[in-house]
Amino acid sequence: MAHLHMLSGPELRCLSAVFDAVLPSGASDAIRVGAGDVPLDRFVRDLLRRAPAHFRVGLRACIWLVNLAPPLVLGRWRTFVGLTRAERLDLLDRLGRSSTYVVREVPLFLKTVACLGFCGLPEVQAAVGIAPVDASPPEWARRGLPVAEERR
Amino acid sequence: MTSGALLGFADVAGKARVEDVADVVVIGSGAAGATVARVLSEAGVDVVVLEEGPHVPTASLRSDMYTSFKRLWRDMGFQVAQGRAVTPILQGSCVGGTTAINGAIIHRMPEPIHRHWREEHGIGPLLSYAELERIWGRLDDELSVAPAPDDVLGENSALMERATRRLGIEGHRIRRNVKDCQGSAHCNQGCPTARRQSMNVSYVPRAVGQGARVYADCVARRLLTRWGRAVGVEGRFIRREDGRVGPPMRVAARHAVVVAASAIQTPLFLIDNGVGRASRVVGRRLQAHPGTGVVGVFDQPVKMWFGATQGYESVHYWHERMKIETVSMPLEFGAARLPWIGPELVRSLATYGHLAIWGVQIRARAFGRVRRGFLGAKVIEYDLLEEDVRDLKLGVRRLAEMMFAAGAREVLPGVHGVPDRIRTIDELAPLDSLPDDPTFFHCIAAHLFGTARMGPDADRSVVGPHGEAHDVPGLYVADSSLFPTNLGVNPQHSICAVAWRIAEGIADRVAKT
Repeated sequence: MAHLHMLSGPELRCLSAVFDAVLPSGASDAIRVGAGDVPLDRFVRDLLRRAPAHFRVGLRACIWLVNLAPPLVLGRWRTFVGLTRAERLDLLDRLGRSSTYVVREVPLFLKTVACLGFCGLPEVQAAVGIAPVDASPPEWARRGLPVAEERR
Repeated sequence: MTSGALLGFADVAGKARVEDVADVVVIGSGAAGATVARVLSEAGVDVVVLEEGPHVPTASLRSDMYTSFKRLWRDMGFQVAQGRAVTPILQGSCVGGTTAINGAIIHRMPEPIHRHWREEHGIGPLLSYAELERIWGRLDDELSVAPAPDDVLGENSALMERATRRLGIEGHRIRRNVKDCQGSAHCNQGCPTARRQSMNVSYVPRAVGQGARVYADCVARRLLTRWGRAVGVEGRFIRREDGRVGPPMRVAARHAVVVAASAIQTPLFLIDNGVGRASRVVGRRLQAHPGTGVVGVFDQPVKMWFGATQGYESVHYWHERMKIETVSMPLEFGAARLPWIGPELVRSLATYGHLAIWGVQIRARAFGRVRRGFLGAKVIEYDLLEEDVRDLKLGVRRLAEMMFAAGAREVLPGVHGVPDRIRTIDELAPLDSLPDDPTFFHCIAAHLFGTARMGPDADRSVVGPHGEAHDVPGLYVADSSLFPTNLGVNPQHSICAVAWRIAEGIADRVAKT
């Protein structure tokens, strides 16, 4: 049953795109890295292996809502992954300002998950100025050099 | 005396089954369970404690919240209550329970609350205020309770101190159960220096030193009865990190079984075992202290990563059902609380050292419920009343006023329908015209009460004035489940004191047999 704890390829691509939009690289001189520079896919895998069922169901529902929202919210016949970075940001921002509670909680929930992984990295905490920080990254990021480095 | 031990999954994994016998079996090792174990074991009573969560040694703690969630927090920090809004319900689930992850805030039960319990809910002489005060004095000494000192107060708390002075409202250093605090601001991740006197570093080892056996990773499931009397508990070892199932556990109790598993888990254990059915109140009347936070942006550095996690508070508005306190959030929590996404979020993270976060918790009137749902899943229902939401609005306004009084350049109220950032209090005007609807706020609830309430009448309460179940002799409840109402202040000290008195009552009865 382990596969039920995992996201499908499209789900993972959508979630990565959301994380990248929420925490982009190079937005600040202090914090150069973004979600796309760290192995948040491993974080999500680790999270889903252990998280309670209602969390897993909720995460999946949020991913699909975001992925299928562009036609309804932006009038663009694309999935979330097919949008430009600016359009993704615009979409998440609009969802977050929705008058419908469940809808506006979606980007907040995804942002919370992204921040739970990303902001726990010692390199991010050190960039913010936090001291002292852990000498090693959390378990999920141990192999963990930025994903881009591993691919090289 | 039997030799004490703290055992976990690794110690029993190869066994076919684990069996033990004790005078008293205690379920849960948090504020209530550990206190019961401490009192009974020092009275010469043989005690076994069953704890569902793991024992996490101080040396293996980490700074990041995700690792703490996995190892110390219930449902990885994702336990929620359902209502019109989804409310995270924060609890620990490890040896020490919530005391291992809380902000170390110590309060005595307010006298008006105790009076209300006495007059309206028939709380008997066992829990007289004089007796509770006697125990609070002992607890203060044993758990090193003292106001947050200057050297580790931290700027977040110093700013609130400044605000209360400027506004002329009551404010004080929080009394905390910390011995020689190092100001790491890591209370929520588990104290990395073991200075906070949470149960896992105070009463649990103390009870073990007196002969208690504490079994971690052991889920209590079945209450054993003989002729209607509680005589033991069955459970199973389960390693949370990978879900691996270990041997079954059976502990026979010569005198009593004490359930002290929190206002969420205790009623579920009672429901699963058919206890208190006649009262029809098991799991009902859940009360809480929902709270929300406001962020202030300051020109000077605040650096919430140094100082007491929660070092300053105001009870100036306690009679209006609210309490205000500082909350130095870890970066992961604080980032999620910021109103932006994308480049603006990352840029605001870069200025995290200039942010202060304060919270308001309200003594909500709402009642919720804990029950079993589809396929036996835990269901927590909780929905704020309109009056509670009005209190939240007022609380957010007061927090914003205090932030400006402390010199904040901007305030981020964190309420839907209100500007993301305000520079004057007048900009908060839209708050007043919002509907009294909890979905406009982001609340958490950390203090829980009332799901197995105490009272003299078996038709309206689950346990009697000594904490013993009306319908199962020998079965006791000793945690905040038995509190008839919420308190309006942080409950750890009240939970410990009530558990202490119940344990003294049990020890007396054991001594007489």
